[in-house]
Amino acid sequence: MRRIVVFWPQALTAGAVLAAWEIAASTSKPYWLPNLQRIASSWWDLASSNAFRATTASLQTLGIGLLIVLVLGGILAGLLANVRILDEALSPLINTAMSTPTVALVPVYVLIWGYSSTTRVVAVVSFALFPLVLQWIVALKGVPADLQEMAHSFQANRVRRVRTIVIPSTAPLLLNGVRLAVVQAIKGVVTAEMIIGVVGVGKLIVTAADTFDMPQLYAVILTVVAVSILSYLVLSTAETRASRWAE
Amino acid sequence: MTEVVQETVDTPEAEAGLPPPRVGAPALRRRSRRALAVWAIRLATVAILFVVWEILGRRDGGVFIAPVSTTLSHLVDLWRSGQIAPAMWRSNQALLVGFPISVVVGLPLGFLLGRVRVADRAISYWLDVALVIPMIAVVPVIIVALGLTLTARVLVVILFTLPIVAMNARAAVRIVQTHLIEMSQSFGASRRQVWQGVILPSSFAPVFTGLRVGLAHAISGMIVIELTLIPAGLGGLIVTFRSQFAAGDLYATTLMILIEGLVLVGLAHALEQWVARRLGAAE
Repeated sequence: MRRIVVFWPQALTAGAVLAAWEIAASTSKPYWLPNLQRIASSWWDLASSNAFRATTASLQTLGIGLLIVLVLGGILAGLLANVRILDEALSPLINTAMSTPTVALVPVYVLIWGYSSTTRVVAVVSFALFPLVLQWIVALKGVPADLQEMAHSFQANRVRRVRTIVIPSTAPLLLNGVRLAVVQAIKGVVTAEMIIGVVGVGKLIVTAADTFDMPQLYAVILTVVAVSILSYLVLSTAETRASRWAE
Repeated sequence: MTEVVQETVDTPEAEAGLPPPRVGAPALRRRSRRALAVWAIRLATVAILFVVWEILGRRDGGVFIAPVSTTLSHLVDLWRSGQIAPAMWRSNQALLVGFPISVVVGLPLGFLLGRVRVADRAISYWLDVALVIPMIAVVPVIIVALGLTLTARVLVVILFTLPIVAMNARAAVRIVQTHLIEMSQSFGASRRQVWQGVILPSSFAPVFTGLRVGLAHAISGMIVIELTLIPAGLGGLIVTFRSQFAAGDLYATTLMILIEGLVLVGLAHALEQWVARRLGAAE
């Protein structure tokens, strides 16, 4: 019970926003703001007509893209974390690259690879790779040297050293990197698909917008929002678990 | 949370306000040789990227990949024919209005969230959500509601910028050490003096970093709305060139956007360092 009571400020603003939405939608009835009930029934129509099957393409892209990001990111971060001069030289470059509007590159991918899944996978990688690499470098550099030495002098073998020192001291930050990457990857998929406009969840959004079907547009957007928040929460939980376990 | 500042890599000396330790001549030479190597690697990386781009472009015949040389000459042509300048002006209107609004609203909001717990719990999670979701998905609703007006574009820039500015400002004032605040309070400092004398100066650097990241987000927001649904400005040029398969022009426009991002964020960075030095000198 106490745990629920503690959340009153959050509940208050959430309630206020929903109430404002309902009131605005049902009194002045702007055509761009359907009420929640219409959105819900539209969502149900989409779900029962299997329209969400289009999102499997998005999820596939997301999965493949993330896999590439993790492997490539692991290699890059491992290299930069261990070779100091490369880190000094390239990390600022990566930072600079991250401050450019990556979105602008998506049309170039479309020109090169057309409406294929390659375009979308490349978009995912270009959105998610660098944030992951930078965070993973921090994680891998964070293995305390004194603990390493101690393990060495106690003649702990390699497996044991990795299990008792390397993994606990890096896991929370590594997971933090994964979380950043997943958030960015979802942004990448949605962005690419909306610019392409004929596949996956981007198609659902663009079609609804083109036909001015506002309840459907909201239903799709809220689904995307829910999925992003859910994956963020799952990964945050994993991260807190890991850091608690590491202590 | 995405990209909230964590960069404080100061040496202990810099932190304590002491001059850096004196270095002997051999150490100095070693250091400058190292700096040279760092720059060599950096330049080599960029050079390799450009060479690979050029080679791929030539092999491709410039149909899908325009080589660097072609891209640059098209960029010059686009400037000469007067196509890029008006598009840039049109796009940047949204940035010119939207970014200052995000800063003026976002900074005080972030300061409030960082120091007032109830406000933090009531509002911060909305900003977290705004940072986590793909904001581009919301763009169609804005376009349907407002049309492709300046207001719509400004709103998108704000949606991209304000959350990151506010959350960085929040993080910045949260990390101010409480013992400093408590000490100043026990010496009878008023609330205003605590803010002026303790909180704002020590949170300056991370706040400014937040603004720089915010600027990068703002440029993304400015381009995103123009690439989605109703093309205009620089994004409009891109969409047009893509449908004409005009690779050279498409690459040139994209490069222009990237250059703008680099220049603006670079200027922000320079300004940040200049102000930090002025503040350091004033103390």
